[in-house]
Amino acid sequence: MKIIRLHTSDEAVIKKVLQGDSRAEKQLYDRYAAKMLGACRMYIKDMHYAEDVMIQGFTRALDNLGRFRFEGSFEGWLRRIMVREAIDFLRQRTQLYFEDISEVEVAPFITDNQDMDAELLQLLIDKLPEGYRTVLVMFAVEGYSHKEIAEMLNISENTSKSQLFKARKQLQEQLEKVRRIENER
Amino acid sequence: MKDRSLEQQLADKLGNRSITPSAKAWERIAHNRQQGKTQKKKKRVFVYYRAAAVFFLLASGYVFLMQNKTDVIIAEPQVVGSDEVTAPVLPLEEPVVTKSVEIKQPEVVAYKELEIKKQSYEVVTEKQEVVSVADSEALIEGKQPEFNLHVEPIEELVAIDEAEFYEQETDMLLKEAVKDVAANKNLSNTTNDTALLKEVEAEMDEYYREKAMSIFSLKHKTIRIAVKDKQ
Repeated sequence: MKIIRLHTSDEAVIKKVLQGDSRAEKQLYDRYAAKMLGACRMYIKDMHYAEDVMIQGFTRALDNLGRFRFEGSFEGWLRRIMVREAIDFLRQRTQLYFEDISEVEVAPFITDNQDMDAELLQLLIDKLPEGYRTVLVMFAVEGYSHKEIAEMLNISENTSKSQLFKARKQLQEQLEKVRRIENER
Repeated sequence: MKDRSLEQQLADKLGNRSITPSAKAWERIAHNRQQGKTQKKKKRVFVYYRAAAVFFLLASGYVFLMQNKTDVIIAEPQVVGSDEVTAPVLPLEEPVVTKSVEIKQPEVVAYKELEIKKQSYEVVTEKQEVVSVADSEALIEGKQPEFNLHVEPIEELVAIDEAEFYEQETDMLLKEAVKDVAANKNLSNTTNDTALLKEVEAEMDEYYREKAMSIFSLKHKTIRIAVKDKQ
């Protein structure tokens, strides 16, 4: 009986890519491109720019694949590259602006809303200023600590905390608006 | 699912969100990769060219210097005529003359040699005839004759056979011409170096032009996307 392996591990595919197999490159792309575009889209409002960033990130990842040490997951490594690429993009295009505030409250707020649609969530965070959005996504979605965020964005930890606070506040206001509109209907 | 923090919802819904990229995305990645590879190759070739040019320049400079060091004019004593024995041609005051000097001032050197030859004719006297004969015998035997450079000029000049004098002069001029031709050959070698440098510069221009074009094409794409987006 012949066993056909349907799913090859990331490690095996990466090794093939390192040997110069272009089909393996495509295989890696097919496996992660959609997820990475989703990640880029969280930071960048414009879908076309998000795709540009994903392409740049993928190219960089494939160029530097030899540096991947197989210590963590490949997806995590790739995602980190995408985040850095997205931050670089925002810095170049729109000049990320971070504003310090004196009061810092970093308590997550609870929403009574039922599970929200991914599209609606995306719409809500799209309306946030870029600085707020970046810190919120890095903290809440990617799981970076304030220290890591501060290092990556070249800001202080307090600035990161204040950005998160402002992002939450603004997001809450937007949610209230959405709720009001739904009640009116 | 109620009472979940919004951040948790963000992490769950957006963290694992997948968006299918456009059909041309992979083509663009493949294109970028190909371009990167060719650029790397070009860089490598450029480095080799540079190394080769530097090596060639150093080698040619070394050869040029070595040739000049070995190029020493040795004035050989000559026996003029069969019956009459005249004093041999005196060596130059500074026998070691580099080629570059010869190229720059060939006329001066020729003039000097003429002057020396004239002096050597003047040296031939009745009194010294015996000495000259002895010198010629020594020459035939392979011994190096001793020349007295401080011989005082004698009033009586020996009549010089003009035809012989012109023969020697033409010989000397021919030798000079041969040396000039050799010098010109060396100069032609240096023009090859400049040609090589020009070639390398042309390569560099082409490389930067291609790089600029690729940047322009990328920018053009992003502008088109932005325009589409606005529409």
